[in-house]
Amino acid sequence: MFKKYKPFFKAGMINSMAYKSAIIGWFFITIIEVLCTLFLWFAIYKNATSPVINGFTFREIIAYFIFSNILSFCIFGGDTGYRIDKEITEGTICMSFTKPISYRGKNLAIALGIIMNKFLMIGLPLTLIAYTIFILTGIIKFVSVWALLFSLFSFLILVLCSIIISDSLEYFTGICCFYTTSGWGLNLAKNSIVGFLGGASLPLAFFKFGKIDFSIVLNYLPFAGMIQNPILALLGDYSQPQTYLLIIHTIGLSITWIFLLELINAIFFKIASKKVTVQGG
Amino acid sequence: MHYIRFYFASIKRSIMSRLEYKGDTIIAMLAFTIENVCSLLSIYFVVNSIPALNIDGQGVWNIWQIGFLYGFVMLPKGVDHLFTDELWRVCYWRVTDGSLDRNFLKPMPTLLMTIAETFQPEGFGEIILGIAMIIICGLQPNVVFNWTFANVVLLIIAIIFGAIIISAFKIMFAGLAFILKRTGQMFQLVYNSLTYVKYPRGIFPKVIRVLLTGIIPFMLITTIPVEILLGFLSYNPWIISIIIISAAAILLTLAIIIWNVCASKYESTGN
Repeated sequence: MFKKYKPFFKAGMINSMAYKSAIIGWFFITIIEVLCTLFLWFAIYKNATSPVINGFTFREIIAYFIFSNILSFCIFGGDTGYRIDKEITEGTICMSFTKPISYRGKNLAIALGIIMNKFLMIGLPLTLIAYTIFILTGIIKFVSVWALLFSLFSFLILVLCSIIISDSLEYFTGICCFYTTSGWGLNLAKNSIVGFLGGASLPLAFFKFGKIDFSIVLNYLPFAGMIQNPILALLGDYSQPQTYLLIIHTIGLSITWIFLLELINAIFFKIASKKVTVQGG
Repeated sequence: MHYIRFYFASIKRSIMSRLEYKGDTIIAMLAFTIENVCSLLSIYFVVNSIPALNIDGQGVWNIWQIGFLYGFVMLPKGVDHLFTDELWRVCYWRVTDGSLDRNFLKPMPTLLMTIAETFQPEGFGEIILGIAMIIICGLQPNVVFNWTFANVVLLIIAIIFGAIIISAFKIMFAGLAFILKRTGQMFQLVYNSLTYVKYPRGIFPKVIRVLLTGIIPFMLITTIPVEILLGFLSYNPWIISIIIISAAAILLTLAIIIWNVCASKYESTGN
């Protein structure tokens, strides 16, 4: 069943290797961003009344941003939305509709190829290096080998869920392009919303207006499963039994969202494919 | 005169081609607003989690003052965005895909030809939100301004010449792409430093302040004028205005030289 999607997966992997300069550029950008973030948070914690703000110490928040930068680079690079937009504006989408393969399956295979390659070649090694450093320096509490394995295993499952959720939202944006016939603006809006609500710029625990805590609702949305939840699996305090339950609950929620988003996408595609306009080509 | 007519004719064509996708153009304008609202909310959530942001040597910044600074940063950025967005494409892919070849074949300066290809109405989204932020935050009772004629002139100069400074960096890196083929990531590194000028200068150590004032002078065009207006700095606004104009003139001249030198070494790589 999956054999026919293998060439797309492979093409995605090869494609992601073509931009080595992007990887080097990202690395330098990240170093400078983390440095500036460090100074900003240093000023924030200096002015705080307590060493813990919204459940994060200064060292934990820095660890959060390092993991968040690594994950964002890997997960947000599938580009399914832009690919569909390009197919529509160039008119090549009519070719995709005539092929005997699922349009969703093809796009998911390409995105998985790109993201998996980036994650396995860059994301995972960097995460493991950072994780080891944080454990050795005491930023992440070492409880037991079992807790460490649970943390890493649940992180990997949550990253896989995150990749699929991210691509589902990319695909949804791509289908919206069937109506707008161009997706530059849509993709831009999607990237901002997903990055913000996914916890890439700030953990959701900080999303408070006075006494209103938005994180209670936001934690149940699919966005939380994209950046924040895999990081919390690494940063969790496993000396508390409820942390295990929380992580299992998070995994269950992410899997539920995957099914729900795929169902919504399938229905939406069925309706929208009747609307698609072929330009040029 | 001929060049000016050509520029406006090209801009008109660019607007017409963008309006071919009316819905998406409006969504893109909204998208830039959404992007900035998200970024602003992030700052709000961070600063709101502490009683006050007390910066060493400056005093206490409240959330409205930070919002005012944020709104001001969006103005030169938005103006630059309107006119020079095509240079991002040069930095990223126009050299490698060979689509820039045609700009070298026409009897027009290549830089003018390239810039005139795109007018990005999304920049209006940033400018409108920036002005809205300045008005909303500026009207708060706990934001006190040091309104003088010199300070107003300084703000106007910072917006206009600030946009020129940002554009000058864009021209430099787009020019370097003629030799290095792809400089998008390198320019992103410089452009991203605009994120950090949305915070008071006092947060950052001296080395970053010197870097963002003397080498990549984004603090000079944003944070310093706003801090003078809000009374956090006591520099002479006329001197700062002259420094901004001089920096813009030097950087733009340097950028044009880099563009011309690199353009003479341009080799087509595409098909």
